Amino acid sequence: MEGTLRGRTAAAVADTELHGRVTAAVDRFVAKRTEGLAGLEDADGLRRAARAVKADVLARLPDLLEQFADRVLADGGHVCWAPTAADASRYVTDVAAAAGGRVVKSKSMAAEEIGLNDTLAAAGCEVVETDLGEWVIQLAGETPSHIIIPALHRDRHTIKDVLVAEAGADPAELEASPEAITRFARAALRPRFLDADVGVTGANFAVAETGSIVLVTNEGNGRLATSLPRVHVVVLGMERLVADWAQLDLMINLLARSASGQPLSSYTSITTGPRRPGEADGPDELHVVILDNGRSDLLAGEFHEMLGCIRCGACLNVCPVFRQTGGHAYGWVYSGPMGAVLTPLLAEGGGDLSDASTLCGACMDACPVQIPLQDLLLALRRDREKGVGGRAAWAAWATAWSSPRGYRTSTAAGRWGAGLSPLARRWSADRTPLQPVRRPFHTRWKAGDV
Amino acid sequence: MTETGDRGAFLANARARLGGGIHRNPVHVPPQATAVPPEVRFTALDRDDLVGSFVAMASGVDAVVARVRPDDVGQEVVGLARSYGVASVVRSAEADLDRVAIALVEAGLAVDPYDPAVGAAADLGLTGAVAGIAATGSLVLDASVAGSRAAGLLPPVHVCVLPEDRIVATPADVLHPLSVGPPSSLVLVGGPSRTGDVEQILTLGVHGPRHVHVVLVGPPA
Repeated sequence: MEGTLRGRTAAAVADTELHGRVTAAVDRFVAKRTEGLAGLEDADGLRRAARAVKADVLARLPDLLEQFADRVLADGGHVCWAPTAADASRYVTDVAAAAGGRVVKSKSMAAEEIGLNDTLAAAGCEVVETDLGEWVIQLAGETPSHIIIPALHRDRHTIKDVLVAEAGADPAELEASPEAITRFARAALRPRFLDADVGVTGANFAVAETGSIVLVTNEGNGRLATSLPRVHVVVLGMERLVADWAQLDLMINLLARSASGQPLSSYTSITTGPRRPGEADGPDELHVVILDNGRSDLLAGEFHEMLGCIRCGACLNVCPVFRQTGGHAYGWVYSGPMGAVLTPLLAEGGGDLSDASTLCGACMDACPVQIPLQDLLLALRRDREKGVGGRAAWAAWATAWSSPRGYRTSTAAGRWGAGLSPLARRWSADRTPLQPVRRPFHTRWKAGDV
Repeated sequence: MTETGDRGAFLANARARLGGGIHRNPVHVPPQATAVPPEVRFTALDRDDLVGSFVAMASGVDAVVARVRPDDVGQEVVGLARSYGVASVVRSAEADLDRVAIALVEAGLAVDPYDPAVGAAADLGLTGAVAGIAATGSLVLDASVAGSRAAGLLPPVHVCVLPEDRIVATPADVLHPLSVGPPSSLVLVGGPSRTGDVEQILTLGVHGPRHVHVVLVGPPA
């Protein structure tokens, strides 16, 4: 995580162009989500049911993981149990290097989380992101600024600039238009798909009943990455399981409509085992890497419902803080309300992200799985205040303001020395400074001035 | 196949975490955990007119749908190929595409069975589908039936021949039966490939086809 939260948010807020782009994008997504959910009868009932289903899955997760792994193995796939990010990255890198080292990647938040691309590159593998936005930010050396639209922070001109600087685009020939940029990307990336040894993807869901991987995409890169290369590697967060196809049906309908208002994404790809005899394409080898990386720590505690997140981005789009800053201000791969909760739980740092919230609860109301994000943000704040200094400060304030005399004494002292007390300074560090009035209300009341 | 890492330790750790019971949010109290979800129902679905719903939803995701009689399928596809100036067609393996393939060849086009190199060079991909989903306008492609995954994905134009009687109502109708054993690849396709990555302006034809045509084959006259 680079810099401080204050520094990153200040930079983001100062960038009025970025702000305009973020606002326009999230407003569009919010409208699309409303439209999309209107296509379902009793959408709120389905969201409540999704919360109940996820609770069931998490309570049975070890058994479901076992069933899932056994099915993958029975279908001829390989399974890797990866307790840490390093375990997962090492396994994927070994497989990729053994297969020839040319990797095409379909967008995966879990792979970003474990820094997979860096590990692959360090081992001499050629990795290319194939989702258009992810490819652009890979070329630019950046991280995603939104779950669904990773290059949200770039407009057509700055995207063209990246393609000219890093992808060999001719500035005179490449028009800075969505159509032309897309055509350029298609032409540039198609040979990479055809030549690749390995396709690495994430998984939106995994179905325990049949050992299946479900991948939800719009561009076609996920399908190409899982049809053409000889090896397919899936980076699967252990919590992304559902028990069976009835549960998957509920989740898949909620995901697409919550993320972008589509009834389903352009491609919902269901992979079960490697290619079978008689098929003219598909991978010979399928590897599923089951990733923990801190998820099991959350399984039963106060934050366990965060494991129900299906990465739709709906909470980002309604958040009054996210719309001011975009995703980079959050400092890690997960942003918005879900990032503010998940980052301190899975990564080092980010504990102050829960302060970047108005606690309005809009995120909770948008979540397709009804994760109580507001409660989780409050719990994170409460946990941060557990340090002795924090407790003492709150206790002192509570004592001072528990009696009229204590209140008047402390506020009088505050009027005289508002800038000086450590408590006031700590308070003001991330807030608008306290500005006590010169004549308090109770004085004016007694004097008959009110 | 092979298993790497320590399954026992991985799962024992998870079981230990769950052993003491799961925290229950006292503020936004969760519903009772349940394994059985409710049925998903769709407001725009007319169960008495699945074909009509399919056409409306597929058009809504930018697929172009034509309803033809069985004897006219060949000419319909030839017409589409001509309209795009197609010279080469790649086809997937379903036998019910044979008549269409013959019509294309008779019209002077090259028609070759799919392999990745052929697919990458072709102007048009011709496939069938095992189902259509009325509630979402999706085509359902099954690699065990088609013999491949990418015949309708690599070329810029995808033509899918789908008998009307294969249209089912909802995704559940396609997904629930997978419990008995899915194929190696099943894809629900909703129109052309698309992105909003550049200024959130919808652009079609990224890595997959720019044009998707569904030729709905009605009952014999």
